[in-house]
Amino acid sequence: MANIAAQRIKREFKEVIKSEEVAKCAIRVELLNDTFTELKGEIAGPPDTPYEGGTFVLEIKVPETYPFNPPKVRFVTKIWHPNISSVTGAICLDILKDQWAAAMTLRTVLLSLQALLSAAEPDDPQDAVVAKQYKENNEMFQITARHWTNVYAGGPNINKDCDDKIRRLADMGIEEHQARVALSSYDWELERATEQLFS
Amino acid sequence: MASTSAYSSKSELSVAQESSIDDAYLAPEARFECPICLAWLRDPLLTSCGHRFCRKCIESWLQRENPCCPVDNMKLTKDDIFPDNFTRREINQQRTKCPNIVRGCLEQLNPLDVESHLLVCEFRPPELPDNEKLRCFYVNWGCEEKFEDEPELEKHLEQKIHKHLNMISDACRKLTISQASGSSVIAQEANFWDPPSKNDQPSMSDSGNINELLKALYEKIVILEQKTREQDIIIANMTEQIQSTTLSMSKISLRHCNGCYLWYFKDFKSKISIMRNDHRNMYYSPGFYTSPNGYKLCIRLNISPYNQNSIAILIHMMKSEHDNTLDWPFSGRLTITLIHPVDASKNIKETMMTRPALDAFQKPVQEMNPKGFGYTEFALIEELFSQGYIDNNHLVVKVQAHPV
Repeated sequence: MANIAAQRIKREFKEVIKSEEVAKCAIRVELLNDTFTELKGEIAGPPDTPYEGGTFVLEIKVPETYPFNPPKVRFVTKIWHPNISSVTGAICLDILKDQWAAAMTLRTVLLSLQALLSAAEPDDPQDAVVAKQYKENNEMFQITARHWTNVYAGGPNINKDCDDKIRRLADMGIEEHQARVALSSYDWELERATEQLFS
Repeated sequence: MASTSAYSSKSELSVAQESSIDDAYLAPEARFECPICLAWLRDPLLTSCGHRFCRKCIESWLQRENPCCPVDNMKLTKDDIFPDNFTRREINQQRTKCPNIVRGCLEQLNPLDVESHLLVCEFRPPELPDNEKLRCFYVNWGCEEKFEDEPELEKHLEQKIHKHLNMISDACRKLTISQASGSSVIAQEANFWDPPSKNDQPSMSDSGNINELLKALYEKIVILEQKTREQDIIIANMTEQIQSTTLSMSKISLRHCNGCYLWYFKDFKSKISIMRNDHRNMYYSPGFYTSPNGYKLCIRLNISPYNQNSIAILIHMMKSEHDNTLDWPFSGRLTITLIHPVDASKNIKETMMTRPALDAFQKPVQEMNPKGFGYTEFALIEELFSQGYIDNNHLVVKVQAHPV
């Protein structure tokens, strides 16, 4: 790894550890190897969003050309968000692509991701299904995102209705996550979801 | 802290420079830090939007499409960047201490030279290939020991607490000295590998850490001292136990010698001279038994009252707890042998039969019968020396007593 990348991550890592946000448990980073190329990030779901109370784990890979190129970041925790793939966790965020600037740091990246959870950009979606729901049936989007936060990110809000519908499908032999994806994609309409699953 | 601007009054400026000597390497002030590499500005350039970067850093950055400022995204072309010679001069005036100050390096360096200095610094820690051996946790305090595996390291940590404590107190003294010489930024030196702190907070927490560490170590000392004391007591008890066991062991061997007793008469020369000074001085062997429940006897050695040049060896009956079960007077065969340590043929051996009429063989009334039986002139002292009976200042007397 280029010396400058490792040096910078080393300094940034300490910076994040000492930052106010870590003190408030809003963000966290953890080293996964000695060469400073792989890190694990964590952000707390921002308040007054469906993600509140959840903890979202991120995979961060630092390229050799860092900080001249952005780090590669994706969500490990499954999340229902227009700009994040519900399948792969890939993130659509300008600063992780063409709007990256060398003066940005791990801390600013994590804070930007937290901001993305507060303010989605449905017109520049990563997950078209989620974005469509966000724009056309925002109430259903909120319910779905909150349910996913509860199931995958340890959020506090249990939605009994969602859980029941998933169990119905599970009783038919459908794998739980697959059932959740189908139901989420069809606004929790059991019939349409079933139809899609068995077609 | 040194966050005053370059245009501040003279006194403020001098304060700024003074403190930057101590912490400059650790944390370049924001105005000396490159936002790209987060280190000291090297060959600084200034953009038209007012941001400073190392030449190498900004030039690498501007190779991308649509070059813009990494800080505020303003469009930048080569014409928008100028050498910032003012900042370059400012940085050149900065001085920082070598991070190896904890090991004794007193170099004052330009912050840009620290890295190259570290490669040649004579106080740098010895190089070690990664993962080859474990370093002692106190390597930063100067402990250079290495270990093959964890148990070894743990053993070392346990055994060398004292050494490590000394190292820490040495380092502490050094830090106190550097504090006395004018700066409040002590602990940062101990914490050299920390990244630059952006918000420039003084390192009170770090010196607090050292205090806490010291406190913890002192607590450990107290605990260990207590432990030592407990161990001392245990050792003393055991020593006592060992002594009493040895004593009872020797008692047992005296009881179970079956009437054949070897008396190692130690320190022969000085005892002879004591006896020569006063003929009333006599030496008695410990009491031994003819059988586990048999008669108890002892050997007496003294200088013959009739002939100053001879030693007398006699046997005394002693009182024992089961005298009542025995037949009196004692009757049997007694053999006294003076052992020659090298040549068995020179052993002086005398055998005698008891005589029932003698007082010496009656049932003892006192601890020991006042009358003994034996030879008042057993051997010439002169001969004992000249014939080599005294080996290592010992004389060995063997007595065999067999009741008949």
